[in-house]
Amino acid sequence: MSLVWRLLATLAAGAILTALLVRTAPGYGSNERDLDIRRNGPASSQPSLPWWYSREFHAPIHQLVAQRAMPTALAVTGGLALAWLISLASALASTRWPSRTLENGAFAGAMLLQCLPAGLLALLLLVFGFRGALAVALALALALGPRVWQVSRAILAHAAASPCLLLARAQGFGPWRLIARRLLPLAAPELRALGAVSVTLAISLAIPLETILDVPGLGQLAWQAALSRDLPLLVQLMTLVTLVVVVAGELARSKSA
Amino acid sequence: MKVAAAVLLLLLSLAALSASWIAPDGGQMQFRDHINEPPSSQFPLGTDPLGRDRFARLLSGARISLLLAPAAALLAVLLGAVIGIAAGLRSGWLAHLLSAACDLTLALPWFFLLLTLRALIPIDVAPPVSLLVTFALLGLLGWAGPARVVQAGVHLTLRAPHILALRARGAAPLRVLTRHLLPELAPLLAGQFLALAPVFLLAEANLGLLGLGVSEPMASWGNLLKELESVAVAGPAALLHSWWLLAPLAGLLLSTGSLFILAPREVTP
Amino acid sequence: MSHLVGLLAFLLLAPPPPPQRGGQLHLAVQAEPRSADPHVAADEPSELLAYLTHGVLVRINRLTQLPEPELAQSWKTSPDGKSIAFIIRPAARFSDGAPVTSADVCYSLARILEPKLDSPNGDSLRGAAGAVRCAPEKARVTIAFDKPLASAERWFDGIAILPASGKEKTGAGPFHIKEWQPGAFITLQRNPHYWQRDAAGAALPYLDAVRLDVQRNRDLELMRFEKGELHLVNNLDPDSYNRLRAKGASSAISLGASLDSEQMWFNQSPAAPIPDSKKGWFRTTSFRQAVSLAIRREDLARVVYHGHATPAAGPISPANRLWVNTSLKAPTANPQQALALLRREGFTFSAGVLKDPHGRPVEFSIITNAGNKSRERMAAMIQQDLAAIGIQLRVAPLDFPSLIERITKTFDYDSCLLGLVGSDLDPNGAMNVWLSSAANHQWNPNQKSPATPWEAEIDKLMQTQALAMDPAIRKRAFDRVQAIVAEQAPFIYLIHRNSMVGVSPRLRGVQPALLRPQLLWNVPRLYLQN
Repeated sequence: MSLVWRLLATLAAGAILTALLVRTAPGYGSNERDLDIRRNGPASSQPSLPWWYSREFHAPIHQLVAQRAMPTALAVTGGLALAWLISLASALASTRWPSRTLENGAFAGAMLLQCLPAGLLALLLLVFGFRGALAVALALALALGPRVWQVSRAILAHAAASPCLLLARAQGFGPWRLIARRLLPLAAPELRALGAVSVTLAISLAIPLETILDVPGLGQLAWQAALSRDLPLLVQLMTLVTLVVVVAGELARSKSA
Repeated sequence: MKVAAAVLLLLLSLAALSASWIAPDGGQMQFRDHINEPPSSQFPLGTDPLGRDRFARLLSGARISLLLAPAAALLAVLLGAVIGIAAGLRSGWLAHLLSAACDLTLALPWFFLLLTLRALIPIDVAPPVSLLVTFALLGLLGWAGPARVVQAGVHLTLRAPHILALRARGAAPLRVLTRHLLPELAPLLAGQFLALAPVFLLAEANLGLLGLGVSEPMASWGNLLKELESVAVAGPAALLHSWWLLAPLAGLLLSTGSLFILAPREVTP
Repeated sequence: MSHLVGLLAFLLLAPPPPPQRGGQLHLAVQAEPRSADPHVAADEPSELLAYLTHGVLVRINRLTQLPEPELAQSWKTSPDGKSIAFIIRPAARFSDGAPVTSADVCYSLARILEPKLDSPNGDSLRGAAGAVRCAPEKARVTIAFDKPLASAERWFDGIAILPASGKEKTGAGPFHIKEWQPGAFITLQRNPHYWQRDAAGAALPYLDAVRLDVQRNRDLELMRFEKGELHLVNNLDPDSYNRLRAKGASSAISLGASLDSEQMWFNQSPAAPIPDSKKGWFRTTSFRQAVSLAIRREDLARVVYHGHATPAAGPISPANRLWVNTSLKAPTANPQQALALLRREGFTFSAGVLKDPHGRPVEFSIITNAGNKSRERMAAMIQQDLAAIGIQLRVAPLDFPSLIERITKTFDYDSCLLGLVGSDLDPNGAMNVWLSSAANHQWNPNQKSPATPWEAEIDKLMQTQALAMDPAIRKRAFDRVQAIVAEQAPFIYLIHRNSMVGVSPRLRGVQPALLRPQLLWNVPRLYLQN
């Protein structure tokens, strides 16, 4: 089965499953407007909208996605960049200057952050006055950073112990040159796989974070679509998410296998 | 370190189990003349807006979290093991199907499954049952991670020299599976369990914060944490002023922390 | 009383204006308006947007609750109530400068009555008036109805006048939409052609712009208000009100009981897929009365609303001065009396358990919308109150679409706790609640013929008040409706929450009202002081 076919099949399965879930979810087709006491009888069913129209927002879905992609893109890329920068830097630092105390301190810190639910991280950021896409990015960095750090540290430590690295060190490579020329290329496939996983995690975390932090991005849009049982919008958003997840998964497999 | 974590976890579980004696009403009794009170000798952690004992609610919330999250983790690991072994023993289309299903499980709006299932159980049913269903669902949806790890583990084990030799000698596949493969995979499964239990603890808290978790009037760590929301925007000073609201957070930190410590370092969910 | 004093003090302390021009009023709405089309507006943000950007022939003054001329400078109803004639104000202009004509009025009326548009106000008018004919003649427009319409002019507060050219975004209101950033904010700009002028002859509105931020999180909204980023907040919840008060801010104002009510009801629909034994309880008047008597309304008001609510006597809030039946009193909780009522029906109470005449323990569930803090808390309190008379109540919060499906389509529920937003003062606005044939007759909707004698009597009284032109006859009939509802308890009214608002000291000219939009109803005369 070729990659493209597999991708298409997964996407189709995702879309059908989502549609099935929404369609059978309680309250599908029920609307607040049914309770409007000015009406006698339930609100007449929506004038037939094409499938690329959102039922809740009465707008073409591509337009909604375009309008709300910006905050999410900023938050996800910012959060990922921050998470990777900090965790990779500290993982590299600990291979360059191994120190038991630093290591344990970092481990404790990472564990503390991992013990906080992401929603609570968002609340804590609110406490300290962070708002908007910046807060989402920070929450993402705080939620993902520790996991990225833990795994990348293990990958780098593993690579650092490989014979090829020992040989290079014996050949008299300086520490930075060793990292740039040998260590990183050696660990690259696994790091890339980790990168793919972190993208998936970031996207799925964006939904609750944007909802709690009140940021008008795609995550919040998905949440509202779910709450209002907006079938076309939700199916298309989820297809988009599935696409990203599947592509990330494929990248991870093809590079690390 | 691990011993300390295990002891702590044991103490927390004992406290949770003793909830039935300390607070037989599950913290649902309203003392309507004592609303929103700070800690006192009668109410060690104060009372909530309906005059319910926060300490009693914390304990009954602990009972829910500490019993049901590990149960959900067990379910997820068992399911993941079955699927992972099946996919690991066979390559080809089954493995592809598995990886596609994994991706889908990770990407799909499980939110609806929660809602749909909740709608399927009659609203008349006792609250603990609906609670059980919520956690069972979390467990059912959590199979993807362990399945992947188990699949990889099966591949590795199958390539180990002694297993290769066994298979070459024509040992029955079932015998290989039960006598050799499962024992080799046991530590892996235990690690997955220890790694997943705190994840489900956190998942309940996240659901609670979104208002989808255990619903009033039952108490859970998730919906107790939700009360922080209105204090949060008032700033750090207000939060410190009503420090007793942070007690469920402490419970969550201690239990997930000890579980993380107990989990092998290499296993990350 | 204290809130009245506070209100008076607020009004008196506000210094007499030299109003300042310009500035942008900044506020938040809790959800994005569903539509910019004023005729289909049904949610609060859309209705606010329609109010700010569109003109109507007649405005109900939100403070005096009386109709006032707006785009029409005068009107006259025929004695039989079957027609009304308006004279359009010569200065009335749309935001593009075009004059408002009688043809625009007829166009708008025809549009809103079009069944395909599915307009709530149109639906309601169609039901009350039958066929509507509109005759434009220069500045005068005569509108005739098939059925007589009591206080016909009030209906026109809900009919925005759109240009006959079909541009639904052009309105004759004080502002027009300048920018709409979906999910984030809407900016409105002053309509330079707005007809109204102040006493000194200066063109209104004073404000240059209004910005509506979409802010779902009410805690964040409050925080921004405290920082001075937002100039006003509506519908403060009791916690937020107390917080603002505790900071000594004079900016938090309580207006007393609002028009909204919170109520619970039992499912009496014959189509309900629930056991017959339960249906039997729910249809027994004494059972409903006993539940009503067991609930401590004063506790609900004191604990859940921190005292910022009034125990409810009946369907109409005391804030609706014109229509409330003042002879009704909120029941005081009395479990003994409740048990006595139940015993008379053959129920038994022993060892803390109430059993019905067939020996079945009395248990039922109550659904409410999840995420509504006050309702979840009220449900928990009712649970404890009912436990005192041996009833086991299960609380089941559901998300809103699921709840609506159950109460409007599947009828698969025992009882429900929900609120009703009072947007219309006139009983005609609630026809669809009281008529037994109506869809919003929640406890047993869409009846072919009235299921009980008292529902038949309500039907008759509602028809009487709808057709009568004499206000005294209408009032008498509707007073009787309220008395029947209070006695039969199909809806068990719990409380009317207080209306509480926050106003920045910079914002002047505010006259807080109970009717929506509480703080913005006189928006042309609001201004910001530096």
